[in-house]
Amino acid sequence: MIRGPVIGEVWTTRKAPGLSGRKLVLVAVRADSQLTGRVVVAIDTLDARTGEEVTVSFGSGARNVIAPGPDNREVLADAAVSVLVDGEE
Amino acid sequence: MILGRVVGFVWATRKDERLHAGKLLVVEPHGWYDPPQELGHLVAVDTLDAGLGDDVVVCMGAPARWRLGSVNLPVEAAVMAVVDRVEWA
Repeated sequence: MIRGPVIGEVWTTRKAPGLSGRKLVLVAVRADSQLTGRVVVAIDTLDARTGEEVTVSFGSGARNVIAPGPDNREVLADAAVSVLVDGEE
Repeated sequence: MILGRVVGFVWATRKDERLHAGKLLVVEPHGWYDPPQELGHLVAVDTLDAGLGDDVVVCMGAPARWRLGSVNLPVEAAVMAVVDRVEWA
């Protein structure tokens, strides 16, 4: 998983089947508490707001967020918001 | 997923026959996620009929293979959505 702030939203009408109604957010990738300049597009099922810190899961972990497995291999997604971060110690 | 812009098409007559269902797009990414890649462009399978200059969301890895119906295809990038609008913070 990676972690970072939501920096925007991507609006789409034409989407692959099975993804209609899904919200897409832009997440800036953070490493060692610095923003790296890289940006990930992730499916958001948790209604993350712009500026909110989140973690993004990749691969089959992302598909499990959208449709719990094991028969979710045809979901066309490789990144999904999995956690809204409240704070850290 | 990766946000990018369609900057061209790849035309190929001789290709794996299972790939005939999809058009091949040349996409210039606006940002990469891990692992960081220094490539300027990537080639993605398109079944949503994206046009030149459209912004698209590209999904990488195994889900992209399923897009054309089988996990055994020689594909690792597929267009997941055509972007209407991006809202940056």
